[in-house]
Amino acid sequence: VEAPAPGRDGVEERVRVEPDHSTALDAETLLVLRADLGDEKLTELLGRFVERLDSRFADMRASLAGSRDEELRRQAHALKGSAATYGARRLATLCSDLEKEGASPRAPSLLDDIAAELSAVRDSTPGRLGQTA
Amino acid sequence: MSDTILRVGVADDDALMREFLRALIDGDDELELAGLACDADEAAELARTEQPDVMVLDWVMPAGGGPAAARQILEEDPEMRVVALTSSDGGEASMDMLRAGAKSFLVKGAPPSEIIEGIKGAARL
Repeated sequence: VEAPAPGRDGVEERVRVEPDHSTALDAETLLVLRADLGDEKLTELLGRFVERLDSRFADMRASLAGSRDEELRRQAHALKGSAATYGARRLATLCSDLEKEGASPRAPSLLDDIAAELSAVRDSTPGRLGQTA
Repeated sequence: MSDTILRVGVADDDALMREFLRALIDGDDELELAGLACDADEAAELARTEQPDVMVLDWVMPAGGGPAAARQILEEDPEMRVVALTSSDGGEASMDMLRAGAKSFLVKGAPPSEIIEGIKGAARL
């Protein structure tokens, strides 16, 4: 994730900020999902979401490599929806950015940020499920 | 339309969203899943063959997306209730779907209770 930071001569520089693994999944969203779906179903659905992150990311990388702009936007849009559903807000925002950008020059950097965020989501999932139980 | 159980069809090209919506519908005593579709053509076919009370349509789907599906479904059955579902895309998505005949609009990431109530509310309109 890149964040603006004041640089020399007052010009903003982009600095890379490591994702915070403890907040990759919104605890409140998961509590609401747990209340409505129950522990077992939430664990099952969230597990499937996390399980498929790698293949979805690989699909987006392949679309960018093949300059398949529309496909990349559609894939980013789909992941944005799932991410929002499970409280992966930063991931949803990054996917929204990628959906808007498509296969632009900024896309490789966005995909790098998405890769880091996927890792944060993956790492925080067991803890978050534990907290909601 | 049934007095007690609402039959709901779901169309979304994202398998995870289909599974999520299936879980919500299965978990509610007043709703029954009529079927799942993954593009606009399948959605229209599902509506035609299963005659659900409500069709939930994702905005972005292959074969023309939710608007194309909504137009086709409502042309064949003007009484069917169509609910739009999408990520928080703001005005464009909602206008697109409402113009195509959707009765209401649900946002991915909304609490399950809101999604369920949105489906039931559309059936009452």
